[in-house]
Amino acid sequence: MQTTDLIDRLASDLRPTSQRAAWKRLTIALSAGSVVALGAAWLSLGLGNDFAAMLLTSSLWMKWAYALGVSAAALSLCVRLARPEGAPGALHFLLGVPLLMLGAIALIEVAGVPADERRALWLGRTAAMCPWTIAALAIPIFVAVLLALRKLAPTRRRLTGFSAGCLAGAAAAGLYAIHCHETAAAFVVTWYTAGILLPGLVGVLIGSRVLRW
Amino acid sequence: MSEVESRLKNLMLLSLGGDGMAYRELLLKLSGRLRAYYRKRLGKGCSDAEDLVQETLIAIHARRATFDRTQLFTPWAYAMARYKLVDYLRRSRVRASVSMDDCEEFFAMDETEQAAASRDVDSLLSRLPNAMGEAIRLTRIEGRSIDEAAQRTGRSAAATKVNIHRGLLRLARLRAAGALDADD
Repeated sequence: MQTTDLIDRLASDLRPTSQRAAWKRLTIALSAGSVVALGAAWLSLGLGNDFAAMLLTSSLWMKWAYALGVSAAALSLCVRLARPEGAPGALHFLLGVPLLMLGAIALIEVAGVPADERRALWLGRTAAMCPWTIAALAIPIFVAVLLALRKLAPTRRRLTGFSAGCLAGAAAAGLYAIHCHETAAAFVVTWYTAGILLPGLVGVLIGSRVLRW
Repeated sequence: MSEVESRLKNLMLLSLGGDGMAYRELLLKLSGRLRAYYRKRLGKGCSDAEDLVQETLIAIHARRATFDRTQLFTPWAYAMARYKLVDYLRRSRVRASVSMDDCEEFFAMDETEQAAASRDVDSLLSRLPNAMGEAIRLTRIEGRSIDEAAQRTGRSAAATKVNIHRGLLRLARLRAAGALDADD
Protein backbone atom coordinates (compact mmCIF):
# COMPACT_ATOMS: atom_id res chain seq x y z
CA MET A 1 0.00 0.00 0.00
CA GLN A 2 1.14 3.54 -0.74
CA THR A 3 2.00 5.54 2.34
CA THR A 4 -0.35 8.36 1.32
CA ASP A 5 -3.22 5.87 1.02
CA LEU A 6 -2.39 4.61 4.50
CA ILE A 7 -2.42 8.17 5.85
CA ASP A 8 -5.82 8.79 4.26
CA ARG A 9 -7.16 5.63 5.87
CA LEU A 10 -5.76 6.47 9.29
CA ALA A 11 -7.10 10.03 9.07
CA SER A 12 -10.60 8.79 8.21
CA ASP A 13 -10.42 6.41 11.20
CA LEU A 14 -9.73 9.27 13.61
CA ARG A 15 -11.87 9.61 16.72
CA PRO A 16 -11.35 12.09 19.55
CA THR A 17 -8.98 10.78 22.20
CA SER A 18 -9.66 11.09 25.89
CA GLN A 19 -7.22 12.80 28.18
CA ARG A 20 -5.04 10.85 30.62
CA ALA A 21 -5.83 7.66 28.72
CA ALA A 22 -2.82 5.75 30.08
CA TRP A 23 -3.83 6.48 33.66
CA LYS A 24 -7.43 5.44 33.00
CA ARG A 25 -6.49 2.20 31.30
CA LEU A 26 -4.08 1.23 34.05
CA THR A 27 -6.44 2.00 36.92
CA ILE A 28 -9.24 0.07 35.21
CA ALA A 29 -6.88 -2.89 34.78
CA LEU A 30 -5.74 -2.60 38.38
CA SER A 31 -9.31 -2.55 39.67
CA ALA A 32 -10.47 -5.43 37.48
CA GLY A 33 -7.48 -7.56 38.46
CA SER A 34 -7.97 -6.72 42.13
CA VAL A 35 -11.61 -7.82 42.04
CA VAL A 36 -10.54 -11.18 40.62
CA ALA A 37 -7.78 -11.45 43.22
CA LEU A 38 -10.23 -10.57 46.00
CA GLY A 39 -12.56 -13.32 44.81
CA ALA A 40 -9.66 -15.78 44.69
CA ALA A 41 -8.62 -14.78 48.22
CA TRP A 42 -12.16 -15.23 49.44
CA LEU A 43 -12.42 -18.71 47.90
CA SER A 44 -9.02 -19.94 49.04
CA LEU A 45 -8.44 -18.18 52.36
CA GLY A 46 -12.03 -17.57 53.43
CA LEU A 47 -13.57 -14.30 54.45
CA GLY A 48 -11.70 -12.80 57.36
CA ASN A 49 -14.39 -13.65 59.94
CA ASP A 50 -13.03 -11.20 62.47
CA PHE A 51 -12.67 -8.47 59.89
CA ALA A 52 -14.54 -5.87 61.96
CA ALA A 53 -12.20 -6.49 64.90
CA MET A 54 -9.16 -6.35 62.62
CA LEU A 55 -10.19 -2.92 61.37
CA LEU A 56 -9.49 -1.64 64.86
CA THR A 57 -5.95 -3.00 64.94
CA SER A 58 -3.06 -0.75 64.00
CA SER A 59 -1.26 -3.62 62.23
CA LEU A 60 -3.92 -3.80 59.49
CA TRP A 61 -3.58 -0.08 58.86
CA MET A 62 0.19 -0.35 58.82
CA LYS A 63 -0.04 -3.04 56.14
CA TRP A 64 -2.57 -1.01 54.16
CA ALA A 65 -0.47 2.12 54.37
CA TYR A 66 2.57 0.20 53.15
CA ALA A 67 0.66 -1.48 50.31
CA LEU A 68 -0.96 1.80 49.31
CA GLY A 69 2.37 3.66 49.32
CA VAL A 70 4.08 1.08 47.11
CA SER A 71 1.02 0.82 44.82
CA ALA A 72 0.89 4.58 44.31
CA ALA A 73 4.60 4.78 43.49
CA ALA A 74 4.43 1.78 41.14
CA LEU A 75 1.30 3.09 39.43
CA SER A 76 2.86 6.47 38.75
CA LEU A 77 5.95 4.69 37.40
CA CYS A 78 3.75 2.59 35.10
CA VAL A 79 1.88 5.66 33.86
CA ARG A 80 5.18 7.40 33.15
CA LEU A 81 6.75 4.40 31.41
CA ALA A 82 3.64 3.81 29.31
CA ARG A 83 4.67 6.87 27.27
CA PRO A 84 7.33 6.08 24.67
CA GLU A 85 9.60 8.92 25.81
CA GLY A 86 8.86 8.30 29.49
CA ALA A 87 11.96 8.09 31.67
CA PRO A 88 11.54 7.03 35.29
CA GLY A 89 13.54 9.94 36.66
CA ALA A 90 13.14 10.40 40.39
CA LEU A 91 10.06 8.15 40.46
CA HIS A 92 12.44 5.22 41.01
CA PHE A 93 13.13 6.47 44.49
CA LEU A 94 9.48 6.93 45.33
CA LEU A 95 9.21 3.12 45.37
CA GLY A 96 11.82 3.02 48.12
CA VAL A 97 10.15 5.60 50.38
CA PRO A 98 7.48 3.32 51.93
CA LEU A 99 10.11 0.60 52.30
CA LEU A 100 12.49 2.92 54.17
CA MET A 101 9.74 4.25 56.42
CA LEU A 102 8.45 0.83 57.38
CA GLY A 103 12.03 -0.40 57.72
CA ALA A 104 12.72 2.37 60.25
CA ILE A 105 9.61 1.44 62.25
CA ALA A 106 10.67 -2.21 62.17
CA LEU A 107 14.15 -1.37 63.48
CA ILE A 108 12.72 0.61 66.40
CA GLU A 109 10.33 -2.25 67.12
CA VAL A 110 13.06 -4.89 67.02
CA ALA A 111 15.35 -2.79 69.22
CA GLY A 112 12.66 -2.73 71.93
CA VAL A 113 12.40 -6.53 72.11
CA PRO A 114 14.73 -8.91 73.98
CA ALA A 115 17.32 -10.44 71.65
CA ASP A 116 16.02 -13.99 71.97
CA GLU A 117 12.51 -12.98 70.89
CA ARG A 118 13.57 -11.08 67.76
CA ARG A 119 13.67 -14.10 65.50
CA ALA A 120 10.14 -15.12 66.48
CA LEU A 121 8.94 -11.56 65.89
CA TRP A 122 10.54 -11.45 62.46
CA LEU A 123 9.33 -14.87 61.28
CA GLY A 124 5.89 -14.75 62.89
CA ARG A 125 3.89 -17.91 62.22
CA THR A 126 3.27 -17.46 58.50
CA ALA A 127 6.58 -16.28 57.00
CA ALA A 128 6.88 -19.41 54.87
CA MET A 129 3.60 -18.89 53.04
CA CYS A 130 3.12 -15.10 53.13
CA PRO A 131 5.28 -14.07 50.09
CA TRP A 132 3.99 -16.94 47.96
CA THR A 133 0.36 -16.18 48.75
CA ILE A 134 0.84 -12.52 47.91
CA ALA A 135 2.60 -13.43 44.65
CA ALA A 136 -0.21 -15.86 43.74
CA LEU A 137 -2.88 -13.25 44.44
CA ALA A 138 -0.90 -10.82 42.29
CA ILE A 139 -1.23 -12.98 39.16
CA PRO A 140 -4.65 -11.73 37.92
CA ILE A 141 -3.69 -8.11 38.66
CA PHE A 142 -0.33 -8.56 36.93
CA VAL A 143 -1.93 -10.03 33.82
CA ALA A 144 -4.52 -7.23 33.62
CA VAL A 145 -1.89 -4.50 34.02
CA LEU A 146 0.41 -6.09 31.42
CA LEU A 147 -2.48 -6.35 28.96
CA ALA A 148 -3.24 -2.65 29.50
CA LEU A 149 0.43 -1.72 29.00
CA ARG A 150 0.56 -3.62 25.72
CA LYS A 151 -2.04 -1.21 24.36
CA LEU A 152 0.13 1.73 25.43
CA ALA A 153 3.67 2.46 24.28
CA PRO A 154 6.34 1.38 26.81
CA THR A 155 9.85 1.47 25.34
CA ARG A 156 11.79 0.48 28.49
CA ARG A 157 10.14 -2.87 28.69
CA ARG A 158 12.09 -4.55 31.49
CA LEU A 159 11.67 -1.61 33.81
CA THR A 160 8.00 -1.35 32.86
CA GLY A 161 7.59 -5.05 33.59
CA PHE A 162 9.21 -4.52 37.00
CA SER A 163 6.89 -1.62 37.82
CA ALA A 164 3.85 -3.58 36.70
CA GLY A 165 4.93 -6.53 38.86
CA CYS A 166 5.47 -4.32 41.91
CA LEU A 167 2.09 -2.67 41.35
CA ALA A 168 0.36 -6.06 41.17
CA GLY A 169 2.32 -7.32 44.19
CA ALA A 170 1.50 -4.26 46.30
CA ALA A 171 -2.21 -4.42 45.46
CA ALA A 172 -2.22 -8.14 46.27
CA ALA A 173 -0.42 -7.40 49.56
CA GLY A 174 -3.23 -4.99 50.47
CA LEU A 175 -5.79 -7.73 49.84
CA TYR A 176 -3.76 -10.34 51.69
CA ALA A 177 -3.58 -8.08 54.77
CA ILE A 178 -7.25 -8.84 55.46
CA HIS A 179 -6.31 -12.49 55.97
CA CYS A 180 -3.05 -11.93 57.81
CA HIS A 181 -2.81 -11.94 61.60
CA GLU A 182 0.83 -11.02 61.91
CA THR A 183 1.40 -7.80 63.80
CA ALA A 184 5.13 -7.03 63.57
CA ALA A 185 6.47 -4.32 61.28
CA ALA A 186 9.62 -6.43 60.88
CA PHE A 187 7.46 -9.23 59.51
CA VAL A 188 5.65 -6.96 57.05
CA VAL A 189 8.73 -5.17 55.81
CA THR A 190 10.42 -8.49 55.06
CA TRP A 191 7.77 -10.90 53.85
CA TYR A 192 5.29 -8.48 52.27
CA THR A 193 8.19 -6.88 50.42
CA ALA A 194 9.31 -10.32 49.22
CA GLY A 195 5.77 -10.96 47.95
CA ILE A 196 5.83 -7.63 46.10
CA LEU A 197 9.30 -8.12 44.61
CA LEU A 198 8.55 -11.63 43.38
CA PRO A 199 6.15 -10.49 40.62
CA GLY A 200 8.47 -7.51 40.10
CA LEU A 201 11.33 -9.86 39.23
CA VAL A 202 9.07 -11.90 36.98
CA GLY A 203 8.25 -8.61 35.25
CA VAL A 204 11.93 -7.92 34.62
CA LEU A 205 12.34 -11.39 33.12
CA ILE A 206 9.29 -11.39 30.84
CA GLY A 207 8.97 -7.65 30.19
CA SER A 208 10.97 -7.44 26.97
CA ARG A 209 8.98 -10.28 25.38
CA VAL A 210 5.51 -9.62 26.78
CA LEU A 211 5.47 -5.84 26.30
CA ARG A 212 6.51 -5.78 22.65
CA TRP A 213 4.44 -3.74 20.27
CA MET B 1 13.38 23.25 16.29
CA SER B 2 11.02 25.00 18.64
CA GLU B 3 9.04 26.27 15.66
CA VAL B 4 8.69 22.72 14.32
CA GLU B 5 7.71 21.61 17.80
CA SER B 6 4.98 24.19 18.24
CA ARG B 7 3.59 23.61 14.74
CA LEU B 8 3.50 19.82 15.10
CA LYS B 9 2.20 19.92 18.64
CA ASN B 10 -0.60 22.22 17.56
CA LEU B 11 -1.55 19.74 14.84
CA MET B 12 -1.38 16.90 17.36
CA LEU B 13 -3.66 18.67 19.81
CA LEU B 14 -6.18 19.31 17.03
CA SER B 15 -5.88 15.66 15.98
CA LEU B 16 -6.54 14.36 19.48
CA GLY B 17 -9.67 16.52 19.45
CA GLY B 18 -10.83 14.68 16.33
CA ASP B 19 -9.75 17.08 13.53
CA GLY B 20 -9.14 14.77 10.55
CA MET B 21 -7.61 17.44 8.30
CA ALA B 22 -5.03 18.43 10.90
CA TYR B 23 -4.30 14.77 11.54
CA ARG B 24 -3.74 14.08 7.86
CA GLU B 25 -1.33 16.98 7.62
CA LEU B 26 0.48 15.83 10.75
CA LEU B 27 0.91 12.28 9.43
CA LEU B 28 2.13 13.55 6.05
CA LYS B 29 4.72 15.74 7.74
CA LEU B 30 5.77 12.93 10.03
CA SER B 31 6.04 10.44 7.16
CA GLY B 32 8.54 12.70 5.40
CA ARG B 33 10.68 12.92 8.50
CA LEU B 34 10.38 9.21 9.22
CA ARG B 35 11.38 8.35 5.66
CA ALA B 36 14.50 10.49 5.87
CA TYR B 37 15.36 9.05 9.28
CA TYR B 38 14.98 5.39 8.30
CA ARG B 39 16.71 5.80 4.95
CA LYS B 40 19.66 7.37 6.66
CA ARG B 41 19.83 4.65 9.30
CA LEU B 42 19.23 1.67 7.01
CA GLY B 43 21.06 2.90 3.93
CA LYS B 44 19.44 4.34 0.81
CA GLY B 45 19.02 1.02 -0.99
CA CYS B 46 17.13 -0.68 1.83
CA SER B 47 13.59 -1.45 0.67
CA ASP B 48 12.36 -1.92 4.25
CA ALA B 49 12.53 1.80 5.04
CA GLU B 50 9.09 2.49 3.58
CA ASP B 51 7.56 -0.51 5.41
CA LEU B 52 9.03 0.85 8.59
CA VAL B 53 7.55 4.31 7.90
CA GLN B 54 4.10 2.75 7.54
CA GLU B 55 4.53 0.55 10.58
CA THR B 56 5.47 3.57 12.66
CA LEU B 57 2.54 5.62 11.37
CA ILE B 58 0.20 2.78 12.37
CA ALA B 59 1.82 2.58 15.82
CA ILE B 60 1.48 6.34 16.26
CA HIS B 61 -2.16 6.08 15.27
CA ALA B 62 -2.97 3.16 17.55
CA ARG B 63 -1.05 4.60 20.52
CA ARG B 64 -1.73 8.30 20.09
CA ALA B 65 -3.51 8.30 23.46
CA THR B 66 -0.12 7.89 25.14
CA PHE B 67 0.76 11.45 24.13
CA ASP B 68 0.61 13.66 27.21
CA ARG B 69 -0.88 17.02 26.19
CA THR B 70 1.22 18.83 28.77
CA GLN B 71 4.48 17.51 27.28
CA LEU B 72 6.46 18.22 24.10
CA PHE B 73 5.41 16.50 20.89
CA THR B 74 8.74 15.94 19.11
CA PRO B 75 10.36 13.76 21.83
CA TRP B 76 7.20 11.64 21.86
CA ALA B 77 7.20 11.15 18.08
CA TYR B 78 10.94 10.54 18.00
CA ALA B 79 10.66 7.92 20.75
CA MET B 80 8.06 6.11 18.61
CA ALA B 81 10.33 6.24 15.53
CA ARG B 82 13.38 5.11 17.47
CA TYR B 83 11.55 2.22 19.13
CA LYS B 84 10.38 0.92 15.76
CA LEU B 85 13.90 1.19 14.34
CA VAL B 86 15.46 -0.70 17.25
CA ASP B 87 12.75 -3.32 17.02
CA TYR B 88 13.34 -3.68 13.28
CA LEU B 89 17.10 -4.01 13.69
CA ARG B 90 16.65 -6.68 16.35
CA ARG B 91 14.18 -8.58 14.19
CA SER B 92 16.29 -8.35 11.04
CA ARG B 93 19.39 -9.59 12.84
CA VAL B 94 17.50 -12.73 13.77
CA ARG B 95 16.11 -13.07 10.27
CA ALA B 96 19.52 -12.50 8.65
CA SER B 97 20.85 -15.76 10.06
CA VAL B 98 18.28 -17.77 8.09
CA SER B 99 17.73 -15.57 5.03
CA MET B 100 18.01 -16.66 1.39
CA ASP B 101 20.75 -14.09 0.81
CA ASP B 102 22.97 -16.02 3.16
CA CYS B 103 21.99 -19.22 1.43
CA GLU B 104 23.18 -17.96 -1.96
CA GLU B 105 26.33 -16.63 -0.44
CA PHE B 106 26.92 -20.01 1.14
CA PHE B 107 26.77 -21.78 -2.21
CA ALA B 108 28.88 -19.15 -3.91
CA MET B 109 31.55 -19.80 -1.32
CA ASP B 110 31.25 -23.54 -1.82
CA GLU B 111 31.86 -23.14 -5.52
CA THR B 112 35.08 -21.22 -5.09
CA GLU B 113 36.28 -23.77 -2.54
CA GLN B 114 35.64 -26.54 -4.97
CA ALA B 115 37.48 -24.70 -7.72
CA ALA B 116 40.43 -24.19 -5.42
CA ALA B 117 40.40 -27.87 -4.47
CA SER B 118 40.45 -29.02 -8.09
CA ARG B 119 43.28 -26.59 -8.80
CA ASP B 120 45.21 -28.23 -5.98
CA VAL B 121 44.62 -31.70 -7.41
CA ASP B 122 45.78 -30.54 -10.84
CA SER B 123 49.01 -29.17 -9.47
CA LEU B 124 49.65 -32.33 -7.46
CA LEU B 125 49.14 -34.67 -10.38
CA SER B 126 51.29 -32.53 -12.64
CA ARG B 127 54.24 -33.49 -10.47
CA LEU B 128 53.87 -37.14 -11.47
CA PRO B 129 54.88 -38.68 -14.78
CA ASN B 130 52.00 -38.43 -17.28
CA ALA B 131 51.02 -42.09 -17.25
CA MET B 132 50.71 -42.19 -13.46
CA GLY B 133 48.89 -38.89 -13.16
CA GLU B 134 46.38 -39.80 -15.82
CA ALA B 135 45.71 -43.24 -14.31
CA ILE B 136 45.06 -41.71 -10.89
CA ARG B 137 42.83 -38.98 -12.29
CA LEU B 138 40.69 -41.39 -14.28
CA THR B 139 40.19 -43.89 -11.46
CA ARG B 140 40.45 -42.06 -8.15
CA ILE B 141 39.07 -38.64 -9.11
CA GLU B 142 36.70 -39.25 -12.00
CA GLY B 143 35.70 -42.60 -10.52
CA ARG B 144 36.13 -44.87 -13.53
CA SER B 145 36.98 -48.56 -13.27
CA ILE B 146 40.45 -49.94 -13.96
CA ASP B 147 39.23 -51.47 -17.26
CA GLU B 148 37.72 -48.20 -18.49
CA ALA B 149 40.89 -46.32 -17.61
CA ALA B 150 42.97 -48.96 -19.35
CA GLN B 151 40.86 -48.63 -22.48
CA ARG B 152 41.16 -44.83 -22.48
CA THR B 153 44.89 -44.79 -22.03
CA GLY B 154 45.53 -47.70 -24.37
CA ARG B 155 47.45 -49.60 -21.69
CA SER B 156 46.73 -52.92 -20.08
CA ALA B 157 44.71 -53.17 -16.89
CA ALA B 158 47.74 -54.53 -15.05
CA ALA B 159 49.91 -51.58 -16.18
CA THR B 160 47.20 -49.14 -15.11
CA LYS B 161 47.07 -50.71 -11.66
CA VAL B 162 50.82 -50.47 -11.33
CA ASN B 163 50.74 -46.82 -12.45
CA ILE B 164 48.10 -45.96 -9.86
CA HIS B 165 50.01 -47.75 -7.14
CA ARG B 166 53.35 -46.16 -7.98
CA GLY B 167 51.79 -42.72 -8.42
CA LEU B 168 50.15 -42.81 -5.01
CA LEU B 169 53.39 -44.02 -3.44
CA ARG B 170 55.25 -41.19 -5.06
CA LEU B 171 52.70 -38.63 -3.86
CA ALA B 172 53.01 -40.04 -0.35
CA ARG B 173 56.79 -39.75 -0.54
CA LEU B 174 56.56 -36.18 -1.84
CA ARG B 175 54.23 -35.31 1.01
CA ALA B 176 56.56 -36.90 3.58
CA ALA B 177 59.42 -34.82 2.19
CA GLY B 178 57.29 -31.69 2.58
CA ALA B 179 57.59 -30.91 -1.10
CA LEU B 180 53.84 -30.55 -1.58
CA ASP B 181 53.51 -27.67 0.83
CA ALA B 182 56.34 -25.74 -0.78
CA ASP B 183 54.12 -23.90 -3.21
CA ASP B 184 50.36 -23.81 -3.05
